[in-house]
Amino acid sequence: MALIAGSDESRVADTPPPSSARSGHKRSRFNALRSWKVIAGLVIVGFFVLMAIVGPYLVKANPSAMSLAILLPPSSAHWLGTTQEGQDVLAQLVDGSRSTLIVAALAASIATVVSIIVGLAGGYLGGVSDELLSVLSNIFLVIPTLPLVIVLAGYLPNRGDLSVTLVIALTGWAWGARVMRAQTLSIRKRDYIEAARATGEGTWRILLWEILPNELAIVTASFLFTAIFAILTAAGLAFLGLANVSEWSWGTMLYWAQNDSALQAGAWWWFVPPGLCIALVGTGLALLNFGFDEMTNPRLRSVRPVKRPKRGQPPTPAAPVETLRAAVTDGSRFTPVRHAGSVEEG
Amino acid sequence: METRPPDEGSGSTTSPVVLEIEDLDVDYELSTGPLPAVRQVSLSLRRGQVLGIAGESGSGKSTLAYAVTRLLRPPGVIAGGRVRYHPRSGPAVDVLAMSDDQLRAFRWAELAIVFQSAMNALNPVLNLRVQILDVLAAHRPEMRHQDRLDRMAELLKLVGISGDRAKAFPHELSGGMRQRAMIAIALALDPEIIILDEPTTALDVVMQRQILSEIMGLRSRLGFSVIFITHDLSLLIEVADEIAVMYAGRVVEQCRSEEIYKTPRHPYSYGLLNSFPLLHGPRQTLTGIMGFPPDMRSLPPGCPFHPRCEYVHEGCDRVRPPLRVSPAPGDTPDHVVACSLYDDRSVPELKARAVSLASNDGAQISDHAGEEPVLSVKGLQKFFPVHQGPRRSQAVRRVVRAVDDISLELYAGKVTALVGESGSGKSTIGRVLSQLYSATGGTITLNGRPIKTRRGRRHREYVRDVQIVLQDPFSSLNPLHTVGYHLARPLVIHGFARSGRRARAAVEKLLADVQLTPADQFVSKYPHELSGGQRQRIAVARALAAQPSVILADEPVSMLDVSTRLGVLNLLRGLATDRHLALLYITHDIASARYFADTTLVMYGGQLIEGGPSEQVALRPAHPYTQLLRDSAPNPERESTSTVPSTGEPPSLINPPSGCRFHPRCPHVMDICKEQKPGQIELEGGQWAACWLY
Repeated sequence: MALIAGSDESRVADTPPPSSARSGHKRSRFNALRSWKVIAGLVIVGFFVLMAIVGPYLVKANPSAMSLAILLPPSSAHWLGTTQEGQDVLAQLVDGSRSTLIVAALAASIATVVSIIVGLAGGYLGGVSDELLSVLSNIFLVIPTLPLVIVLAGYLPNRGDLSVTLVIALTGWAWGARVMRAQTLSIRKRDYIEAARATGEGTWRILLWEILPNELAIVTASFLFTAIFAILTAAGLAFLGLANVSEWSWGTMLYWAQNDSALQAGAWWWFVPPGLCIALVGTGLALLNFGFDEMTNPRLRSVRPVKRPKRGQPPTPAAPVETLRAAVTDGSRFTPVRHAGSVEEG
Repeated sequence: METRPPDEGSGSTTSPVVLEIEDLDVDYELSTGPLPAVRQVSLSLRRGQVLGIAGESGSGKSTLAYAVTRLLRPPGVIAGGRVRYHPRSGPAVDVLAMSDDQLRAFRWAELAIVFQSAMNALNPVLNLRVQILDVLAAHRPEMRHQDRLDRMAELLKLVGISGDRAKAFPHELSGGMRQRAMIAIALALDPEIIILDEPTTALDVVMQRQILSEIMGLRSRLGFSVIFITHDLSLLIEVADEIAVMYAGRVVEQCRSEEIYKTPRHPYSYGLLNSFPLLHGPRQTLTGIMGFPPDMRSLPPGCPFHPRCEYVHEGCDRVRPPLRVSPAPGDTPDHVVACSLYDDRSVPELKARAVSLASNDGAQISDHAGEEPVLSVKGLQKFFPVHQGPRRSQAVRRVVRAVDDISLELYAGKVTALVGESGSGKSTIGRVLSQLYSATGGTITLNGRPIKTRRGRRHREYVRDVQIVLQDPFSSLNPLHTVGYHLARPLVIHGFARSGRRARAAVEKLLADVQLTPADQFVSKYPHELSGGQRQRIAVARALAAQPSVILADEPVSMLDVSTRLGVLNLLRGLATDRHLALLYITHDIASARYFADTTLVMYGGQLIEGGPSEQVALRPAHPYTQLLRDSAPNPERESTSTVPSTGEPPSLINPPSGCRFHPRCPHVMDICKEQKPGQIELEGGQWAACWLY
């Protein structure tokens, strides 16, 4: 105790804090937003969300109104042509985007919340509750989705958007729950969770403030994938006639197009737009997912090819490519060391 | 280039050069621009020599090894310089200009590398036999199968693995065995050079000693040269012929190892040397190095070491001194140093001026007569169930007896060290005492009140009063929360502040207490913006926030850079004394316990085997295991490295040996040791040992 140095406070203070600390943190966030995948995804999804919100006010035509202008190809009067009943395809597309996107967002939200609850609880609590929750998610994982959806949708008294949403959420949560559980299992063993417990944090606080924020990337991915799944399933159900086909969605558009033999009639403008929209929204969501993934996991980022040195060459960035190529082809310059008989000095 | 005569492998300074590194520059190409990792490094390795490279994390020492072996992957690129290999016969070869095929022939046949983490370097799904035969098959396609098998058996014998372990998979081997297997694979083709990148860092001292003496023995028999990379300068001095000290990507001093031990010239080398508590000789003041290692993204101008240097003077922040021959009269002409202290050819004496290690004064005998312990533990047990067999119902109910009948007492204002190797159960004790795990048996008494359940008010008070500092500051702070959040939480939980916002003043005071100033600069930072030393200070501050009476420090400095360790130990010691805290210092390093703790307890196989005043336990250990620990610790003054103190592995805690758990490894084993567990025998001066010898 005699040798305690007076105070090294000033010394610690002397050292400059790590460079550009705060700004560096911010910069990395903005770098991630500069990812083309995130931007493209945002633009695509944003466009359709905007279309669902303001579209019906811009396209004033009643999507259900019949007319005598049947099966007209796209023209200035009907930008996307008309159906067998003389309804405006554009009006249907715009009106249908609402139901499609609402079902997707709602179903994905419900499924994600359920998967968070089941995954966090199972992973953190362990023991019997984990076993039970695991069995439950495994059961839902192995149930063939589409047949179950068909059966459920067929027996439900009301075939509106809400029941479709619930059916999709019910079948879509299990995958996310398993991933969340695995991640929770890994995070709960980390030292900072033990440290929080040693500090005296309660279970709820640890779950919601220490563990959940670290799983946001997975939550996002799970939400986006469930949304894609929801759009496809909703469209599938409607296409099979298991949704309320008197309301407009991209799926019901396809149902009517199929019913009225649009393909045989060559009325491509009837079934291509809803199909394309479904594909585009799916692409947009997937792009967002990839982009966010790269943001949180730098190892997934593609390495810029320019920076990768030529294989087998001295990786001197300064050397022009031509020189490097010449060196590659000039095999005589070096021979393997083991037979170093007549080698010139390198 | 003339043909070199075959060499006897003496390691002398006159033997021919086998590897020459000249002005090597390595960059990491980041999106923000190139980050210099290695700058202007020139080294030459002579045949049969052990060249040591010492440096802290970020000094570029491992990057250098990767560059030399051309194993560097993007974003790392070799930006300039030359690496030349001189074979025994024939002219020199430029390693940096080799094609892939040439590299394949060069690596392993001429230059092999042993990586730090043997678990990651060995393929977990292949057994040793396959992995060794693989190397032979790839490089010696002409070899007959039987010859390969013979060679494999020979290699395993060389490194001390018995032949029947050849079919073992990596997870079935202990850490030391895996490292041995790595060495066997490195030796497979009889290379000229072996690069050892922190080969023993993950191992316990005893295992480290065994592996080192084996490597050095093999070197004198087989005559290869070694590049030995480590952060542990005292270890390096013992094994290396020549040492290069790296700081911020550059060599700052290079000379023969006995010279750097006796007369280090660079203030950084001096500081490093004085950062290691040693077990031999009289206690000397440890100075350490102030501040924190540099951030490679923004190196200070001039000499990169100047912000931490005790001898900083006019011009250090502007001119980076070149590497020059030391002008000191006694130094050999190949002693080079990069420091402007020697500009005018005068030789200042480097003295202990920096942070000195807070320490017990050595002679003091801890006498707790009449004093009540703050925390008292009696017969503590912690067993973990093991599930074996395909189904749980069929599983034999077996347990790992991680902590088996431990009794200890912690006193206010005193530091008690708990020393043991990995797997001895020392960390489990920390976790049981902090109530992260519940005890299987035994009693814990805090301030005279026994703790029974893990619920209720008394438990809450216990959790507040007994705080833990975990080993790894890189994982003990949640990456998503700020420093301020981490420190405010315990204040809020234990009712010292109403809300996080109101705790601001208290948080700043805590930061000042752990010497992170100015405090307001740290409050809103995230853990990734801090260095290891700073993070560990935050962890200490978090433990302090609850105003505990006991702090359990579980290897608080083992993950930190050498130069920042003393600072954190200092801090803990000062807090214990000033605030009258009882501190349990859990460590594998008996030398640091000697300097840092009042009392030292030694743990082996889940049980305490020796205890007493630190100085006495460290210098005059009574138990054969403690003696083994002492003999294994790095000692720059040791003449020969060929003595292997003991063989054997740490005991299984599932089937612990009968009687004394150390008896299978003990050199003094008697019949009674195998049958009966020895009790604690009181020796003189407050020391005791659990050994039948006394």
